[in-house]
Amino acid sequence: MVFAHGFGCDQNMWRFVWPAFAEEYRIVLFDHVGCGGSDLKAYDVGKYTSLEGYADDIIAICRELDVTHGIFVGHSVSAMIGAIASIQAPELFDDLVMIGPSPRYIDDQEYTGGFSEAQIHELLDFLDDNHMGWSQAMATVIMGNPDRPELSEELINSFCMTDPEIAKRFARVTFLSDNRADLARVTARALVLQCSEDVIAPQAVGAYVHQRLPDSAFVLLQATGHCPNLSAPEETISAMKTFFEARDPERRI
Amino acid sequence: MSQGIDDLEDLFDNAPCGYVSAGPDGRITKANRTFATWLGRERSEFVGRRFQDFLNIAGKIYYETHFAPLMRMQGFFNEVALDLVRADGSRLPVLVNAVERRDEKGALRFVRITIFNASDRRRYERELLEARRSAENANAELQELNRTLEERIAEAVEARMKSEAALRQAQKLEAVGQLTGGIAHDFNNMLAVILSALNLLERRLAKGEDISQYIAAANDGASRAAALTQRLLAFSRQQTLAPEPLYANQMVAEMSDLLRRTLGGTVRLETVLAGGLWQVLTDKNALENAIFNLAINARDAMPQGGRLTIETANSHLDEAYGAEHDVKPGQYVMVAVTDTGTGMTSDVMAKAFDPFFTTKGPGKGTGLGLSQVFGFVKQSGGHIKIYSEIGQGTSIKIYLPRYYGAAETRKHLEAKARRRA
Repeated sequence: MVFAHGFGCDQNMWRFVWPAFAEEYRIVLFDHVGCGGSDLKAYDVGKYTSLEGYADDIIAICRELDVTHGIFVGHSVSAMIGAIASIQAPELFDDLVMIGPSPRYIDDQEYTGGFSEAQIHELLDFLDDNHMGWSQAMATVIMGNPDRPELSEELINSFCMTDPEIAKRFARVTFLSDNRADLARVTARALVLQCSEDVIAPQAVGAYVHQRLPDSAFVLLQATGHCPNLSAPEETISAMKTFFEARDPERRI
Repeated sequence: MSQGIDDLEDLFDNAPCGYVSAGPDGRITKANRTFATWLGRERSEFVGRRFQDFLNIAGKIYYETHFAPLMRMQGFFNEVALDLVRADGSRLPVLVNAVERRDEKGALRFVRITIFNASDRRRYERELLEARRSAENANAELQELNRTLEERIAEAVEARMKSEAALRQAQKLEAVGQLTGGIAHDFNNMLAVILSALNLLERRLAKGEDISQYIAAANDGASRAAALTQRLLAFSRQQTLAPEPLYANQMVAEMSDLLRRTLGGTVRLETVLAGGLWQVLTDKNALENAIFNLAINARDAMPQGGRLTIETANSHLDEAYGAEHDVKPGQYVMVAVTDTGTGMTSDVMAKAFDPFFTTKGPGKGTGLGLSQVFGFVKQSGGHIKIYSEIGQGTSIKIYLPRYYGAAETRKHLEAKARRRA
């Protein structure tokens, strides 16, 4: 079972979820290049100008670890990255768990993405303008954490330690992406987990993904926001297990 | 009691910062008056909505992707720069702190969010960023200038080196030209002597007259031509030296008559010969030639006349001097030729031994005299040094290594020398 984090965090965002599957599955956790503990030097501006670059990394990780017929769990933009990887290498994953997926964030005629083009550009401008306030605030947040000794120093320091320049580029790639056409080409079975009141991936988007995927289940979670894996891990785990139980119980990674 | 609660409510409502309380589900239960006033809304409008609903679009996205996860994982966040949207659509830059309040069992009771107005701070930050950007731009421009400066200097140096090389080549060609001119002139004179002698010889021979003086003249011309080629060979360091033990004093004495004639009436020759002078092992002709060369240079440096001194002395060159002048330390015989002429500038001194270097007019000097002396001295394992002052004169000292010959030979030679003297 391969877990892929989305924009804004790293593999730590799975910390309340993956232990629930550790007995049954081999767990693969990683940080996208430019996030968390990844080697920032490996960041290649050209490669990561589209989600395919990130999908190639997932394929490489799975091939290195001999993952076949596995389960891919992707949050936010990584749900689509996993879908692209599964199209390019169908043998890797039998199932995709897509948490808060969105194939396109900007509205387009009949399609509702949740954002106007102007809003997305406002976001990208914010990233350009507010660099200092943003990174300083993050440094304060991450470094000054005397009240929670149970979080190890290592964890605190690596959590959300995204390089601001790379974060900017990742945001640009994410929020300007349009992978709607890829959905119909996904052959793996998919579970779409949709949050209530998710400003980033509204219900209409989740419904669209579910409708376009050839073989998918759709679950609307009680959880609000965009990160049910953190805010409502029990509900997330339960929805995933229900989905898997409907499958062949023999399946293992 | 009632007074106390009023007081607390006043503190809460009119604090210099915004206070918002949210339930475990993230929905706002309470907002203070300060916050409501900042956003131009009624306090009741906030209840039931989420804090991120009042952020601009970037703030909403960042709240969901960064700060909500952070809050869930470490229980608080501090001083996050966000933009709130007022009722009229305008933006309010704020710094936001948030902290979870939990009960004894660890269950989340509520979230306390504290909001500071950061309009001023954001403006400073923007100014600072702009200042930094313009500083970076200025720096980049400066670096560009520096980079091209290095290039320009490299180009200039290269051009300079090229022109210097061209100049050297031109100087060499000029010197070769001068040399060729001088040689041609000299040879022409010698050939003229030989030819006219042969011509006269032919005529006198026909008349059956005495022809011996013409044969002598032709011989003389041919000999001088041979001597010139010898000098050219010496310059090219291809002359064969035949060293023999000899006493410089004796040699100088033998040369004085010839020297006096060469120097002419205005230059007085003096010799200061050291007693007990060591002998040297050297080529007699080459040394004579060297002294002669130096004497002629000395004469030419004294067009108004003056005094030419030839001096000999035993000399010891020590380690320090040897190291400084690239010569083996030890005992030498010194022969100095000193004039009271015009002297040399340091520039001229530096080039004096260069082949083809001459201060004399075209056709007068070959530029080979001193070079030839230098070549001979070096070939003999000796040393040569110029001392000169403008207007005072020049002294050129030749050092030749002392010869440690057999005592008997020396005694014999000394006796012979005394007899001659």
